[in-house]
Amino acid sequence: MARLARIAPIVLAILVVVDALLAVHVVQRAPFPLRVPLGSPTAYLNVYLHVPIAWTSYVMFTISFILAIILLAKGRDDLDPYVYSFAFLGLIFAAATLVTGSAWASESWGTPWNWDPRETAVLLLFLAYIVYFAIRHSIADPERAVRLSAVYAVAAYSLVPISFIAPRIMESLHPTPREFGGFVARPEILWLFVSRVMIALFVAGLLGYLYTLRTRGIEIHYRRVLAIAGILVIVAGIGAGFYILQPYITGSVERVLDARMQGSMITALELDESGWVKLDNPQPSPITPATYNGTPTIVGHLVYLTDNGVSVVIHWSVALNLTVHMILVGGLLLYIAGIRARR
Amino acid sequence: MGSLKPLILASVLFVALLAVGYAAITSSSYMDVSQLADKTRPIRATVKGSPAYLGINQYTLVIGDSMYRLDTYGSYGVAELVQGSGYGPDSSYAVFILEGDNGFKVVALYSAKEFRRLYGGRPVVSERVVVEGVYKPDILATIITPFGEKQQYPVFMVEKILEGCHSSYTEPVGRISG
Repeated sequence: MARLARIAPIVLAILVVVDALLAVHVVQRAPFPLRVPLGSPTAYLNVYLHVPIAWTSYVMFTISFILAIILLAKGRDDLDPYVYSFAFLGLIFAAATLVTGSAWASESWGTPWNWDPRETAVLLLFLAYIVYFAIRHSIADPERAVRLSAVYAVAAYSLVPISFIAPRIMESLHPTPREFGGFVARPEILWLFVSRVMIALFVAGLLGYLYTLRTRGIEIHYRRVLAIAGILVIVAGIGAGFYILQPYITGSVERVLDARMQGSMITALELDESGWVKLDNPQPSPITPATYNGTPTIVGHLVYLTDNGVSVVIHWSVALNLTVHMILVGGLLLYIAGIRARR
Repeated sequence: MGSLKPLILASVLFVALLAVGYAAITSSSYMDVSQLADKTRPIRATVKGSPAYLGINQYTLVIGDSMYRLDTYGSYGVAELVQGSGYGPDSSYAVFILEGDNGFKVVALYSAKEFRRLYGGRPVVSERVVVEGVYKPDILATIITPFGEKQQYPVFMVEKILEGCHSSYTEPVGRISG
């Protein structure tokens, strides 16, 4: 255990940096559906950002739930800091799930909030765990606070399975597990998605562990390394977000309504503001493949025209969610590095 | 050792919250178009329905004193005003005939300009769509087929199309080049 406590900060700092690099990579290079019913297909890059955040919150709540049961069954009050820490992280990631999901939904579902069964369930889950912290801090007697909050931590977890199965039992705008599983199981998507999820889970697990150590009054090593990694990731997240959003700030971003093609070259585009724009010279499509079943795959995308051709603009929700994710993880590193151990 | 009492209390609360959660998600699912059949006054609603297949045709749409040419492209059509003052705020509409589970149908009208802006020139309309807007049972739209056959349905003025993303997950995938 002492050895784990010693190496955990270094492993966490490395994993957070690797995770940040991977998140930036998937946003730029990962595959997305060629045709979508509504909005920009690049909004589906949120699969690699929103879903790992949501699953992380589920896993954090699950750890908290299991530990709360052991605490109650075996009278192991020493597990209380773990129950508290993992519930805290679950709550933070659940809040991020709501924010990142709403940003994505505004493009792909037509509006940020729909009272979709899973949206409703995640909101209830979030509110239920807020009550956990209210109970926890409102009881003056520490022993009673530990027991009662553990009882509530078990009860609040009931909304996790409800949220998970919502699209399976009710008609939902969310994909069913089967639809989503089929999508991420494709070879070109699988390793990217699984890597994002696995690293995110390890990062969250180590964050929970170190947060607990600190709140138990155990000094952790390499606090400065954690702080530097946290700052690096926050700065990189803000920088990457601004880089993606640059065309929205400096240029004129328009949606492609239709396109004329010559093989894989674009000769003209119909844009939502400018109407039909004939290109001086045929330009290669910025989407690979350029066509599918004879339909130009550039249709539906957000683009801006430059002297060098046509550039695809990644939807702003992806930039926002990338930045939210990196600020969240970097901020938690800084928070843990900055907590004073209780003596 | 822990006592059994807190565990029993936790289990009871777990089941109670589970029931609350289940009730919440089952009631937050969308109303089917067929549930509009018994409404006699205009109501704001979010409903789900299946767009009827209209083929590639030219129909006529009549609402009140306004006549529209309705060009259809599979599951939707675009209506352009040809005669009269026009119904509602727009002169052209994207038109769906939304069918509910029991066969009840409404004519859903959505701003053609907004529809084109959101969906582009070659929209892929899902088999099930969810729309938010105002159901007007007292306003009837008559659709006249190319063979002169008339069908009359109440109007649903769409303000938002809430699109599920189910079909996206079965599409082939691509990447940004470079």
